[in-house]
Amino acid sequence: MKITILGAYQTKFGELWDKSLKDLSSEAAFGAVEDAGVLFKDIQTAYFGNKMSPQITGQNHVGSLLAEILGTDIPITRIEAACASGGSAVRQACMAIESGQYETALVLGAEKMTDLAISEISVGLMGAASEQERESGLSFVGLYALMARKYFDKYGAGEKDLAAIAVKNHFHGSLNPKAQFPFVLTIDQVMASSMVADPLKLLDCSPITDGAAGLVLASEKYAKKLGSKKPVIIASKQASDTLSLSKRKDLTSLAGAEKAAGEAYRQAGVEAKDIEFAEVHDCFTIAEAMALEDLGFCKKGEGYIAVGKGKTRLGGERAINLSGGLKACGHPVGATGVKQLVEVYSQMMGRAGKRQTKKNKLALTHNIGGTGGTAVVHIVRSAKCKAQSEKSKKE
Amino acid sequence: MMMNKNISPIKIWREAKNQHKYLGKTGNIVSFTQINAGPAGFEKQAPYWAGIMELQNGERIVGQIINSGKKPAVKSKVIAILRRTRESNKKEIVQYGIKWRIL
Repeated sequence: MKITILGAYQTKFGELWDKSLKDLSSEAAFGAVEDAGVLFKDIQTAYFGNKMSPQITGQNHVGSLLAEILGTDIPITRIEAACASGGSAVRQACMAIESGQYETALVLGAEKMTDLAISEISVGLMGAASEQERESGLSFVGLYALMARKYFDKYGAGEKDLAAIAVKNHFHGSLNPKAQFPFVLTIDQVMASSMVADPLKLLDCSPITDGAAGLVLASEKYAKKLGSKKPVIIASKQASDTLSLSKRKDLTSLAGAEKAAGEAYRQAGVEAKDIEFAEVHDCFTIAEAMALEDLGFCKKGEGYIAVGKGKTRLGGERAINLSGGLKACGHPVGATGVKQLVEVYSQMMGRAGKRQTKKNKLALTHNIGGTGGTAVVHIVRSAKCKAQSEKSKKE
Repeated sequence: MMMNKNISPIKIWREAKNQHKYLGKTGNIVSFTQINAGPAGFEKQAPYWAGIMELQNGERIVGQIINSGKKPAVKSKVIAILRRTRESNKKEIVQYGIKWRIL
């Protein structure tokens, strides 16, 4: 697979009272197209990652909303896969281009979340869980807390180990002006924050966020015509798992993420050790510890150790979540999977400002829906990177 | 704005037919948490315990663990009982479901 990212844009993430879903979508779509250096008439199809608009704003049919914003009649499809809606929308666009039907595609991820009370948004988010989980009064924090307790029992990790993940992501977020929380945190602050669902505290959790992100993707042929030297998506894979957490054999790993990652490495012709930086789905701190293991960056039970040793910080062995992750950059659910690729693009284009990594040639994104029911993994290489085997070129 | 899809008489009738299958069954806690901020319909019950239980036949099920004076722990033995679940207003019907008591 060789899909060029021609352009990318992220709105400011945060509690944006003066911005509607339409405002955010519009800003991200126009921003991405402008950055791509193409015209709206050059965009042939679009995919819109959005999880909650029908519940929160009462607006279904957001594909047509986007058509109205853009003043276009191209096909636009909404993709819903819980918090993996964005990543899944990127994958649909890649496949549409791979099929040969289209040369260019716009991907938009957007979510407007802060209009509702927390208890109501919690009900909305739990739409991504199973009925039995909703009837038990579980929240998403609660579900990840069940995984965290099992992880602690199995590997001997503790609350301070998870706090280090939030601290690291806030450090990265403090260098990102688009982040919802552009400030640093200390371990003590995380430890002193209120318990939401033990062992997870308020500062282990990603926030409720408004925001949008957009990408313009193009076929290799189209990008060549433009003389593009922009990053290229070389793998796009998705896998599923049970909706219910209780139906899984293992609570300390997401089998869908492992499968999607394994297939993505094969498609790209690279290995986990080759990946220089990654954006992973840290909806809760425990999720990042598991992600490092599921993606093959660490052995099972050692994800939290790598964070504690500073290996995942900017300048470390493999920087994780340079954007600040979901924790500090924010988590507008349908936009997150798209934003991860916007961050990868910014890093590869050398536009990441204070959080710029020098190791920026080969990256991975990991976007999770629900408690792991959907997992989407993308691998991106910069124009300078030659890492792609003969085998993968055939695929 | 948000409809209460959870307290629907038909849905409760449909679910109630299966509750007897679990009543009185015992199992062990696989993992648990104390929820301090519950979703709408559960806010007033907080803090409350919820967890994953493993029944003797190996089936795993999520549910609330009631406060019976005993603190849950991994491997605690539990029994399925019938309790009121989410809060309903005066016009809605009262919803019952399976919860788990520590033995």
